[in-house]
Amino acid sequence: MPNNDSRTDVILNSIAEGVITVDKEFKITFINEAAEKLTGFKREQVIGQFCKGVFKSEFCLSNCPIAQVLKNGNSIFDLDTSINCVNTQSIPIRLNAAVLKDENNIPTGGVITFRDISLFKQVEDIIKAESQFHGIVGKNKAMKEIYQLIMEISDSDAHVLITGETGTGKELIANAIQATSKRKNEKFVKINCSVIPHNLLASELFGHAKGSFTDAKSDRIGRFELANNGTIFLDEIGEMTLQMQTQILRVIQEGTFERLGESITRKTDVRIIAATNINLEEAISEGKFRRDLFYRLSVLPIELPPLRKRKDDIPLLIDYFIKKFGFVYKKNIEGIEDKALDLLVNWQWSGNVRELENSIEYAIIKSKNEKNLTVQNLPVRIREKASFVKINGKSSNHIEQNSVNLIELLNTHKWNKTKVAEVLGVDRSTLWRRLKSLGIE
Amino acid sequence: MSEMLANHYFLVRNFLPAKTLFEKILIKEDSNKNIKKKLIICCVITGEIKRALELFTSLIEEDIDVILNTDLNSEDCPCPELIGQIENHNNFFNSESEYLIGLGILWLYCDLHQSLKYFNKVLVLAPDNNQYLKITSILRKRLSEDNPDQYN
Repeated sequence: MPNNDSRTDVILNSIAEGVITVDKEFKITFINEAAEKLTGFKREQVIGQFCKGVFKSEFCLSNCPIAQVLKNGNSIFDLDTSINCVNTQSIPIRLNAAVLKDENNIPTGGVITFRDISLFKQVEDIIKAESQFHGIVGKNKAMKEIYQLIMEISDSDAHVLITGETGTGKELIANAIQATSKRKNEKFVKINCSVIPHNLLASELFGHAKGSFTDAKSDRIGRFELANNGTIFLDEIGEMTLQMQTQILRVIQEGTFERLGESITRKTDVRIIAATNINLEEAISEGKFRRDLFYRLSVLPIELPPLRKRKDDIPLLIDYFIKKFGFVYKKNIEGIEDKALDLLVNWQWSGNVRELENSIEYAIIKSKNEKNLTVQNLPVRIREKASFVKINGKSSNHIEQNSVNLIELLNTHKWNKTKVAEVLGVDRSTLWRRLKSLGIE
Repeated sequence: MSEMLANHYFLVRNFLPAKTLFEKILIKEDSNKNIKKKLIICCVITGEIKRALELFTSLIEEDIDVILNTDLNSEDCPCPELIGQIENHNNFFNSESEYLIGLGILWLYCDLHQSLKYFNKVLVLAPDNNQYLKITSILRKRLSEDNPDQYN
């Protein structure tokens, strides 16, 4: 059996993020393989050395992240900065920093985890160049009205409720609201309420005191405290329990909360941007969402249109995703063939922009040396649709589709077989025989 | 009051907050030689020569090797650069004796012989000062132990 140290080493070496730890003298005590790869420094070169002497970054002297944590008591999450590599080249990184403490809560060292965001930065440049409004791509009238509204509310601190189907870009809208608001230079904390188990959400949002539950080994601040003076984005707010909704309501009304397992009332000044893909009014009538919270949150409501209602944006979005993923996957794709474009424009996009993005990513990965994306590059479910629709007047092999596709088509036409046969370009008896062979009555 | 934060300030040559934190830690850990060793430098460079001399005397009486065994590189000792700055700008201190004491203290982290040279000069200014006599005596004794042929 490996001992605990070697097991920890194996774990830390298996992750893609760089990990560096220092002792209380700021001498490096550990560097994982990812950090070696990212920085070019070898373990034997750096262990026992002062971190400032190794990385020689300007920020080591003026803005050491571990020192910031020591001063403020708050760990650092997702700080964009840069690190000097072995060849003195600087790479942009996104880092987290925390202080390691002994059983008496005395700092004994620090840990920095980081990842290379060079590619991300380059993609960000593409986004900036291609987007119409703070990273959002779209010229549709409804979208332009939303951009206008965001600009109009930029002086306001009122809470915002963003609604829209899944994949419509609610988080991008939240980012844009934050970026244009008075609080743009303050903390912007995001939390997806649906991915955190209900019993842990309170601790995540409001923090906890040491010993308040089994795994609460030390005091921890919550997201509301972290976001003080800034903005919090509560995604999927419709998934919150009624009990949690009551606590959120109190933060909105009084600006106060307590950490879990603590009786001290703390204050916070946070602007809430909430988002949901569920119909909150229905949820209210079903008793699943508090009406008072709904009204408090929806001071400034923004409803995002589904992609099928902004089809004019689809070519623009396709063009943007081709540029983005062409860059990421190093493929020199210039555009998309008309047939493929027609298919994509006419697809229903129940997953909205996210589904379109994934489809283009798939197509780019699948493409070989094509100059333009073709129907063959598209995901199967979209390609299969191609065989149902007449393209250039031809309709061969459509009847050879599988049962699922035929049922889908029949459902679309309310099981009107004459209509379906017409769509497929075959006569009614051929369709009947095919249905029979597939066991479809 | 974190030793680690004090170490950070010391490392980035921000000696005033480092001194404040080290002083607080020393109240709780009065036998911590490593903290004394760094605090002495902080006191010299922030102009608190009297306090520096008090700590310096007690440390070399107790264990002079803590200072003599300083590895300038691996400990990232600021003394060489501070000595350079002080020697080039001798308006760093209020008086000649403070200047000589400051350099005498800092030189001990780098070179025992140079340190003694400065403390001998201090002694010339105040030949009856018991503290200076004690310091020069400790330094001379150590120098003769290190170089028995030269000093016997």
